[in-house]
Amino acid sequence: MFSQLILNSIIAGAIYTLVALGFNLIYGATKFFNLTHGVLAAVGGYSVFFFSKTLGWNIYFAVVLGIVFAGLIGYGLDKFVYLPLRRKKASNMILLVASLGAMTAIQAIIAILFTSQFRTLPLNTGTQRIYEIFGGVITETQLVILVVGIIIMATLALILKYSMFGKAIKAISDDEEVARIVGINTDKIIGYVFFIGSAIAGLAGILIGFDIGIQPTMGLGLLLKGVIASIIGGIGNVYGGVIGAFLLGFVENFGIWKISGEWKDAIAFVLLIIFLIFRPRGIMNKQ
Amino acid sequence: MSKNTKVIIGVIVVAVIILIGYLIYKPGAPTTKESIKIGVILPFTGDLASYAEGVRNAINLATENSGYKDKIQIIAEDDHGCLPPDAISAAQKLINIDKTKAIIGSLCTGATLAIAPIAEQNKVIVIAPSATGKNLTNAGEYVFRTIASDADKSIAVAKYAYSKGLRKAALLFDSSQDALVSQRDDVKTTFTGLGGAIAIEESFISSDKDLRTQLNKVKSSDVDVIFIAALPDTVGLALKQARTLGVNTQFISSDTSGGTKPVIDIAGSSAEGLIFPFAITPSNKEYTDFINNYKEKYGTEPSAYAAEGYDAAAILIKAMFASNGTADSIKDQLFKIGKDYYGASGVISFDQNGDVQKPMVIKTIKDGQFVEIQ
Amino acid sequence: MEYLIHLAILFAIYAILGISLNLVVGYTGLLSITQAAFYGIGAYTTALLLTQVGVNFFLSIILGIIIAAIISFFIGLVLNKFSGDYYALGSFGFNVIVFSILLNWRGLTRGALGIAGIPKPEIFGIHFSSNFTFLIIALLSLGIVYIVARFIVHSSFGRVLKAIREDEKAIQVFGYNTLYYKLAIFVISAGMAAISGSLFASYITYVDPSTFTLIESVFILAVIILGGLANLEGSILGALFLVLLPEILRFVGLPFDTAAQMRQIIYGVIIILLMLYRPKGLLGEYKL
Repeated sequence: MFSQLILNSIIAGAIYTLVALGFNLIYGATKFFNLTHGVLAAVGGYSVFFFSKTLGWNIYFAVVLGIVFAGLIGYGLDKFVYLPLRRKKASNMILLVASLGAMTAIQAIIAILFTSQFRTLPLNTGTQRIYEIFGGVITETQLVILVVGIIIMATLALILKYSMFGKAIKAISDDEEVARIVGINTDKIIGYVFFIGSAIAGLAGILIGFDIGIQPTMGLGLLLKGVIASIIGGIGNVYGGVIGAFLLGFVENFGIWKISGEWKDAIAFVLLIIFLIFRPRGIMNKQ
Repeated sequence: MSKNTKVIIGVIVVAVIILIGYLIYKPGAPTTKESIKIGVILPFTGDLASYAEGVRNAINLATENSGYKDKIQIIAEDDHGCLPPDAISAAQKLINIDKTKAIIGSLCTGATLAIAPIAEQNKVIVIAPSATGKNLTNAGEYVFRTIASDADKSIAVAKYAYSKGLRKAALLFDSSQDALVSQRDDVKTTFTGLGGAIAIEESFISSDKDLRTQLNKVKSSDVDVIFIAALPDTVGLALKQARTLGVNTQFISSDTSGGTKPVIDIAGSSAEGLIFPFAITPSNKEYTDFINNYKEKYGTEPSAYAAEGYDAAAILIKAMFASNGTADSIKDQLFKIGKDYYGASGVISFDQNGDVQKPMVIKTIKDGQFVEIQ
Repeated sequence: MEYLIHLAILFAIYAILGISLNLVVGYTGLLSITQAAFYGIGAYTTALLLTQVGVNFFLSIILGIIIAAIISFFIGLVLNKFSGDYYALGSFGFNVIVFSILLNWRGLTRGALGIAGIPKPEIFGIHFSSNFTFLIIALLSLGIVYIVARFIVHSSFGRVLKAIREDEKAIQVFGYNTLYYKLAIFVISAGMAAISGSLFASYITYVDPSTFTLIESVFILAVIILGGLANLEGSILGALFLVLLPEILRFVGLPFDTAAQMRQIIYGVIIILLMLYRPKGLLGEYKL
């Protein structure tokens, strides 16, 4: 069932793309491994659960709210935790440990509010539309994930290349000190970057919720895959994150076609290490 | 070192000394015949938290229904996701500080194995609601469990499958939970021993929710039946993803948790026809009462192993109040009461090792309900 | 008292882990997040040797160190090619790979089933069966590791490590083969972590892969960051703090149903606050 294998890889890649896009954006600007990025996916998913199931609001409205809410939480984290740390010239390790604390706390809050039960977000009750492509099967939700991923990639790419905002982000990525000297309000821009990146993460969580389901602990695994995708694709590069994500999806699925599924995570990290050894700058980065 | 540092160290040292003093000299209220303390160790945080919540709710329910509600104090401690050292910390605290004479816990075999030696040394009863590991049989004379063994469940479904003429099987299993690995071993041994064949085995870990590629491999291997040893969430997802992929083969869950609501919630109509083992009492009244009771109080159906938790608590409470307070006496009472005891999770009879062997029936999901078929 | 002895043993185990990691991260400046892998290798070596072959505990410690050293040698060779954040990521990767092997190579490690019934140490007829006597072994081990670490840190070898941390290129100019030094300290650190693993296996009497995850490595990192990088006494203090903190929280009265999760929140917030207000850690001299 070769075509199904390819479709599975594409589906997995699409999910990783969303996580990688948000992570790549934030990492480019701040250069630290933000462990909370993953948990924001859970925040997005659970917000939609809350708005649509508990409050009974319209599902599309709930999705928009969920995305915005995830963005706000990310923005808040930056403002109250990461920014003060950056002002004190904290090292990346300090930020990493601080993000560990934040991740632990946020996960626990979600578990208290919603219990730890695995939940699904139904787009519509009953069975979904299924599309058959070359003998393989893909559901409507999965197609949506794919399309959304590409749209966001395109939008981000355009913003980063052509807008002042995007240029400011690039400047900060290259050298924050210099960007500040040149007059860019780095704190404010980074704040916006956190908002956008976190919102994308929230969207990832929401779509995963529709396709598979949500759980308070869903964040870390997603994050690691997003990080791998970003690195092998080329850290800080929007297209890179996407290519890396699809490559990861393919390698994982083709990998477990040959060896048992329990080794999936190990395969992902072996891929990472191979890239780190032979092409650390990733696929898309030239220098 | 600087003055600031010295101050900080000084404060920490003083705080630690105060804490130590408090812990040593704080009197723990002894268990009297009028009131009892029960310790609970479960993975309240981590991936298995939803099951811990269910068991804890069931324990609360049992406490309320026992008739001794005001005389029972439940002290719950977290083992942070079935981590053995944390389980030991929890047990040490419960036994030495809170002076509990009995502990309900833990969810997983590993954590229970870790606390068993301590329970033995300190003469404290440990009753596990869902730890199925084979090593627990001989882990100590004060260790009991209310859950049927992996072998009983697996053999029941393997035999059933064979008896229905199914000969070629796929075996999907979660390699990161000891109970599920055991079930995979037992299903394989039994089914092949009877004359069947396992054409393909696929594995995954609990946190992996995308089983499409594994299912894809199963699809190309033309089997009559798919055995699945996984947590209920994963079973639900597997069913849903399988049906979407066009895999319409019969699924058989080797664990009794296949018969819990999350499977239907997640899989929807794809859950129809799933076969699983279950332990029942002749009238099934205890089980239905428990479900209704739980739904009334908590608003949802209980999660897997909550029924075993309920029975563990109910039996333990009865035993403790009938005893003279010592662990040996409680132990004797447990054997006495836990004999043909009709519980929410089936008929419980402790054998001399504190294990139970529950007669299994086969059930299926039909029209969104759990129905017995054999 | 038993409870405190138990906590003290855990403290000793984490203090050794902290010291071992600090040598690599604090003194040499290599962001290694894979200590749990060597912790696990030491634990499984002892577990397997004691239950399958009947080897003496103390001998198993030595064998654990050797095996961890060999494996870390190869991992270290690969990691040496990376720098900065990529070193961290690569080490993450190795942690996950080692964990996957411990979990999935059921033929060797029994995977999720774990290895039970690991006996307590015994030598020359002395049986260390009580927790108190085990604590003595644990503290002695900590003492030995501490002395060795101090020796390394204050030696000329240690000075080279610190120089690598400050500016690797500069010291290369002087003719120092920095790759050798980085590899050496990585291997030494892995060997020490294996000692913790052996202690863990015999004390808990049961090992399974769940203890040796990525999160555990991050926890060990938190121990040394809290205690202060490049400060051995700080690692010991950090271990004390991080072992005691969740236990102290057990005593804080919280609503029954949500207590465990609330403790996680408090734990997380305390970590954040510590990073915000004392990023150097309790006794740290070096802030990377």
